[in-house]
Amino acid sequence: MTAPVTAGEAGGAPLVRLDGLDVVYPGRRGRGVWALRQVDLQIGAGERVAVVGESGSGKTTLLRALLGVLPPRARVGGGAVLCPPGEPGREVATVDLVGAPERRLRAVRGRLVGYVPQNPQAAFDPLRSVGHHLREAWAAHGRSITDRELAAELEAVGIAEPARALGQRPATWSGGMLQRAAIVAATAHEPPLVLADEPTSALDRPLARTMLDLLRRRSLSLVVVTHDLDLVPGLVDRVVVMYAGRIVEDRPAADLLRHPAHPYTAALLRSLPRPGRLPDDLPGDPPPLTEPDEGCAFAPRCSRAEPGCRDGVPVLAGGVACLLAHRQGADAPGGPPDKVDPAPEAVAP
Amino acid sequence: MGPAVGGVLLMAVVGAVVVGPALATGDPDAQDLAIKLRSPSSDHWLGTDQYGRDLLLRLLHGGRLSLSAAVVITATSVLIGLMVGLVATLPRPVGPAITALVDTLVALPSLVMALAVVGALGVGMRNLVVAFVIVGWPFYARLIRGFALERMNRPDIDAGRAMGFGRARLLGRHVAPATVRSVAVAATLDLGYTLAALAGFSYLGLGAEAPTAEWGLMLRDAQMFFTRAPWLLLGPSAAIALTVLGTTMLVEHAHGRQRSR
Amino acid sequence: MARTLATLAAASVFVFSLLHLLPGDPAAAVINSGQRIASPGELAAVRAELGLDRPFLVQYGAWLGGAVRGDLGRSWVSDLPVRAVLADRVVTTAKLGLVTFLAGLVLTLVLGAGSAIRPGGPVDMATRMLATFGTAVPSFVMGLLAIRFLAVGLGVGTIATDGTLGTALLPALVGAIGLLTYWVRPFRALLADALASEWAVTGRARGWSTLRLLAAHAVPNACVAFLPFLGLGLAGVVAGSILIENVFAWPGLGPMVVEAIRRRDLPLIQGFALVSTVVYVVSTRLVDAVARAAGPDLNGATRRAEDWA
Repeated sequence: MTAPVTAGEAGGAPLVRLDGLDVVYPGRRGRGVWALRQVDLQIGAGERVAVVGESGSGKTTLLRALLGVLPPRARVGGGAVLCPPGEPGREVATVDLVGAPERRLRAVRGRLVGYVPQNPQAAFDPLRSVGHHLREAWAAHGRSITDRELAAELEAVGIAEPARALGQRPATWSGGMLQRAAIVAATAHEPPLVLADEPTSALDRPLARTMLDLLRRRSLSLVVVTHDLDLVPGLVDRVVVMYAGRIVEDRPAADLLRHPAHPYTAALLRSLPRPGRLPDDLPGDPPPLTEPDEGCAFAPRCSRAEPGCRDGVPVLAGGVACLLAHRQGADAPGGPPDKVDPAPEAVAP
Repeated sequence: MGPAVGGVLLMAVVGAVVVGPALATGDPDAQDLAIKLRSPSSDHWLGTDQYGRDLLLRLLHGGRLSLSAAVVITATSVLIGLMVGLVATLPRPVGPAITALVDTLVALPSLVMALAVVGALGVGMRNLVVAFVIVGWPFYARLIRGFALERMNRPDIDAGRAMGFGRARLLGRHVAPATVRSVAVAATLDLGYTLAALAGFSYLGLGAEAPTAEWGLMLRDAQMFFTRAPWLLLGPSAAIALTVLGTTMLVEHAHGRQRSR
Repeated sequence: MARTLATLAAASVFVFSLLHLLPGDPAAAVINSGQRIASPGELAAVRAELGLDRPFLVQYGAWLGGAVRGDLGRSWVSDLPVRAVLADRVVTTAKLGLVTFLAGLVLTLVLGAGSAIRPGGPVDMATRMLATFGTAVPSFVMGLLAIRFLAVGLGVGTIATDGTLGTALLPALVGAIGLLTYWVRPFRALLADALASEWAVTGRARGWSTLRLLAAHAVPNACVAFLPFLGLGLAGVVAGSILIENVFAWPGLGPMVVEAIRRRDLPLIQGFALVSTVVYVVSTRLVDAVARAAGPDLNGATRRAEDWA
């Protein structure tokens, strides 16, 4: 494990700290699915971070780990800690997101960490009214809210006729309305950290912009998972890129978008549609997550891969996990990185 | 659970009842009141009943009876069902009419109907077999009709039809084999349940008659003495349970194999 | 609706023609139930009385007409009206049937929930074993084992039953286990689906306790989705109840019909067959209709969260 060097760290203890986090889903006959491998990540209070990657890169698992809602059969290694901000002079206990008992985690979910799901239609129990769900979001942590207050909240996020809409079932609401309601539910207790899992993938462009603005306004610190880099500017300060369960780049948004350090990030940017240029899709598929690491996971698809790339997994240093980037940055501030990690020990399934 | 365990179990039961009586010589009906109601011992592995008859012998012979009856019932039901089912695939007016008849028959509660038939014909193993066949064939007819229709509407059959093959040839060469596999699965399962039902009817006194050795009948006897002699229960109960278990596990194994193809 | 009527019609034809299935002369059978040898004159009289000399369809029509009005003839053995005998027994059977049904539901819900929350856990394993046991061991065998080892051996439940609810524990338990074997697998799967669905994960992410998730959301959803499966147990219940009643000597339809069969008391058998079939067919159709009505409610929103990785 290397000493994490993260940009944009606000003063004091980071809000969230992941150290060498591994998540494996054990499978039959000893083969498991490694959803996350050796993830080091820190998020400070007030930061806004985007997590980007293809499906299967581990971004959803990352969110689940931050919420402590991994499925029971997941095996976790390494550490994940939440340090909620306290009042000056008052100590607030840190929460071990991996090992804490369910009771403790439940106190975290919703109150300290808010969650906005990906598919608004599937995010509500179809049998209950939306109003029921929203009231439940407050009740889950012992607070109650009157219908009038609830209607006011809905109106504040742009839902028309909120009083009537409250009594309806989710099936009668549009995707956009449901997502707004989900944001209201997620921020009910004004949690210091809000997580959003591709909150706009089910919405059209103009609506996506509005929703993200809303999200930004209502959150103190934000982690947004998205596969759409075009939405990133203006929304977040920092971008984390994931591939095959690992973080491959973690740098301030402006820098990353202009000068991507990792070949995968560069490829992602090239695959975006731009006026005057055809999108340049990345050929091939991400590796299956069942195989243990042998060298850089991106090497098979990387146009600049060298034989050395397959020798050991590049470690995250200086905000990037790439042999070539490390070599180039040997003269950069921060100095050369530690030598490359050999293949990591498998987490015993 | 191991996949082939079901098959092994079933083979064991079948083997026991087929070969057993030949190996374990003795008359299952031989009474010896001097040794009545003895618990299991080295002389009598399962003990003796209220007439001094050896329970193991009775179990093995009874198994032969139950198993052969179940096989006859299932085979006959399948055959009748096959014929009616194929006829039901014919175009109107025959096909739909037969289909309607079969669908209505399938909706009737089978145990009730079997009881009614036995009530009309009288008790006894032979009438029981007839009753079960009467009640059992509609299920297969519907099953076979369904499979046959589904297969007949596949593109490879259409191609055959376009080339001029007759219906009979198509049915025989192409439709039948795949249907057979599915029917075999259903029939195996049915075998177990039919055997259990036969035992049930005999337990009620509506099937085999004393002094025949039959599992259900043995359970009926067992109930009279089971406070004193609980071992009377164990042999037939285990035998029935193992047979049904064998058939269900065998089917699950076959199902699992087919699915992973 | 038309299908139901057709089925009932077919059943009635079947039940009626049973009389003509009797080997030999139906008239002789009537008299022989009274254990006498008949003279030709008596045979002719009985034949005329029963209308056996009329064409089949006419006889069927007369019988059906009577049945619809509630007149199912008189028992050949006791000469009591079939309707009266059945009515008395049906109530007793229905009592046990209801208790068994409820017990089966409770058992399925509890064990299904326990299995779904912790797959592979002790409850899950125990439930699987119980379900396998229930499939392999027929209900009447289970009943015998229950009486010997639970009632006599452990003192749980009563050995003899008399139709009162106090003695219904063991028969209802055996029947409930039978229902469990049909119901628990689909219910457990539906509950597991609900627990893994996107809205369940979102709910947990908002701080729902496991209790709230289960009781207020997952179980209600699973129950709604489970309605079509309720009918699965129906055939088993009918068959099982007849056997179970006989094992425990519960004074319902079960022992009655067995006795009637042994005494060749055809009107009673026919009455039983007709009534049971009508009840069975009607309830199957009802369950189907309820399932269809509840269907559109589900919305397809219970999708596994993994689909959205």
